[in-house]
Amino acid sequence: MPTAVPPSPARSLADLDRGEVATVVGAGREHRTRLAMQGIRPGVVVAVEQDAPFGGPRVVRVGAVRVAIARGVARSVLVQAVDRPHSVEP
Amino acid sequence: MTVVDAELSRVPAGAIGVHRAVAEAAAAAPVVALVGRPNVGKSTFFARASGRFAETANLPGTTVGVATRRVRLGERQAILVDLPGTFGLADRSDGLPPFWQLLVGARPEAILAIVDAGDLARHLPLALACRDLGLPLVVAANLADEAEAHGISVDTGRLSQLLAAPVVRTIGRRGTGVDAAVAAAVALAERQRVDPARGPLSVPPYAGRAVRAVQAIARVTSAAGSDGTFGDPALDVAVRDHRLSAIGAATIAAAETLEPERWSVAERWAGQVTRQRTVAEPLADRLARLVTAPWPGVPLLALVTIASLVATMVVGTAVAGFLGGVWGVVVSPPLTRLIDAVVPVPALAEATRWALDSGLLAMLSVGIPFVLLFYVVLAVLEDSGYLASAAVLSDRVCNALGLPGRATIPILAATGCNVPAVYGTRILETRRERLLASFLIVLTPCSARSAVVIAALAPIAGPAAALAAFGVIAALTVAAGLLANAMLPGRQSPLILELPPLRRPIGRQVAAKAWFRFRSFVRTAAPIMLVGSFILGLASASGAIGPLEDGLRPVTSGLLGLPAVAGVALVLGFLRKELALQLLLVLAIAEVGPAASDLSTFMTPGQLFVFAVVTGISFPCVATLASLVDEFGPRAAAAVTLAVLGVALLAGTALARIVGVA
Repeated sequence: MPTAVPPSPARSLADLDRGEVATVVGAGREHRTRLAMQGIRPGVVVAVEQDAPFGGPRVVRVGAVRVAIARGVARSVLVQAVDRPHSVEP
Repeated sequence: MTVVDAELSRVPAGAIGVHRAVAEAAAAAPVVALVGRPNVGKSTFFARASGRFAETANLPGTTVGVATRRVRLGERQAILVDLPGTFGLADRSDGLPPFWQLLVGARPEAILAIVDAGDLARHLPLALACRDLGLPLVVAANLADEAEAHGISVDTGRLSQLLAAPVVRTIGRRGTGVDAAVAAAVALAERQRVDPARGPLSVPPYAGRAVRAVQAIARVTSAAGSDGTFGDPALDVAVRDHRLSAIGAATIAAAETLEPERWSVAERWAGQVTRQRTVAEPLADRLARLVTAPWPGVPLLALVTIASLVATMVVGTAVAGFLGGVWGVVVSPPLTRLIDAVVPVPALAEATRWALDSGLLAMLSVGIPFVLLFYVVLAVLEDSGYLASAAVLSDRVCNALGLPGRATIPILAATGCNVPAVYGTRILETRRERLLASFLIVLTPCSARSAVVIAALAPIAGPAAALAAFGVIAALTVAAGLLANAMLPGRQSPLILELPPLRRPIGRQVAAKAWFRFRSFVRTAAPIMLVGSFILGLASASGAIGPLEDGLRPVTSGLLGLPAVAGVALVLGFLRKELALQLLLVLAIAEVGPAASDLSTFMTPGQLFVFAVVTGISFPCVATLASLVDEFGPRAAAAVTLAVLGVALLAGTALARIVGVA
């Protein structure tokens, strides 16, 4: 049994399952500023809530608010999944 | 350079726009600027503070202009400036200079930053950026009721210490704390006026490295004889004109260094001043999640859309019928007698009757019932936050046409009337999106054009033919939309949208917004309806039809395979679309005789099909054209018109060959 949980590898926000919680690691240059203005910055914890149909935007919870992010943009956001002690899905 | 009272979008980059009201009134009263992120309830706050309702919406980016109001608080007077919602000082919405230029252009002597009490971590960075400018700051911790519903309470005293600025707890929609916040800002503004001590950052809460970077920029540029600049001519001008201190300008120039600092400070402070109790999830939150979930969100979206359209149609038709009846009994007979008595020339009298009698009635029976109703429905959907949330669901589908999901509503509204739909595109963010949406709107048959399609086809060629015609029109619209998206330069920026919470719309605010938009509609459409009807009346009374018919013959008969008289009906339909079919009949009777009162006597079903599709698409009616000019300028309006006309003629020519009439 390892004493410390090894950090999970970085994935894109688009690859997370619904309900998963992750810490933002970085974002592609193209959308970085617009994401940052919505508070999606390195170190921030996001939770995937919903997906719109037909490959539509992904709705994530950031702190007190929900932000809809087009799937293409979500692919450019690097995250690291957080181990959940219990379900935080509100 | 100072520009007074120009449209903000026309202020050249680098120049500083000053609202005329601000420029004139500032001499007397101190100026306070309202700053906040979209959806923080800033315009509601402004309306409460000034006693009037500005055009607000529960949507990012609707306060595009700058509203200015004079407020009186006891003995004191002040000018409140309501700036558009912004995410940061460097943020720029489509067609406007960056936000800080709007802010500085208003020459504020204090800033009232409105933040969401329930979401300080994301709202304080903007307040910090304002504070860094060196202007006196008051922070309104707004939406305190919503925060408390989420179990969040804010220690305003502690936050005030941290920010070194007054913090007032407010609930904008109820007016709680609004006067206190404004009074605090006005008091600071008055003091600033007497003693404009625009000093350096008083207690910069940022890492030493960031502060030194800002100070270095300020030093280089303000040193005597220095030709150092901020790397942005607009900043240099602002400092030279004493609108910004050197250090304030430096904090804008160094935004990239300071922004991460502000966000981390905001997060730390939010943690220190916020207490979170565990509470049951508010109903509004659960509803907000339901409306964006594929189930039941998608069926709900369909239902809300259909219900909005049907309600507008049913109520609109009833009101229109009522108005028409009253008009026919009360207004029409005396008006006709008056015109006959006053205008001696019969042809002129007839034209005047067309304009004042049927023209005004058409305006009245389209304007009030359909347009005003639609605006009310749109305002309710916007203010409740539903529009932005539900649009997430249709975003992907609309993206194919270069549009965001929100465009669904105005485009669907176009099936009622194109004019309000064109104004409805104001809910979109960029000019490109608005132009593309307007192109689709103009291609969409409005109820008047749909009526022509149905009336021309259903009795003779059968309902199936009418349905087929609508199918052809829909397919053409989508194809043209895809093509336009590919051809128009630029790309749609993908969706990154904060979803507004669902809120109960405020009745007065909905009414004010609907009325505000309705006024633009009336101003645009009424004169045109009158002049158009007058010209129509003149044409029908003076016999100018013949030469027009001959001139159009190559297109009408050659390309579209229609009787020459149909060309006149198509062209004059520009003036009054709903009259295209009546015109056709009237003209045909005049030419062929009473037998032509039945369409089938002079047009084959194939010809009627071509006529119906071309009328369905054709080109914007004169009122729509005016709204396009109003919103986009003459060049873009002409481009849209030509594009639509091209689609109509191409489709008509091809159809005529397919159905074998040409």
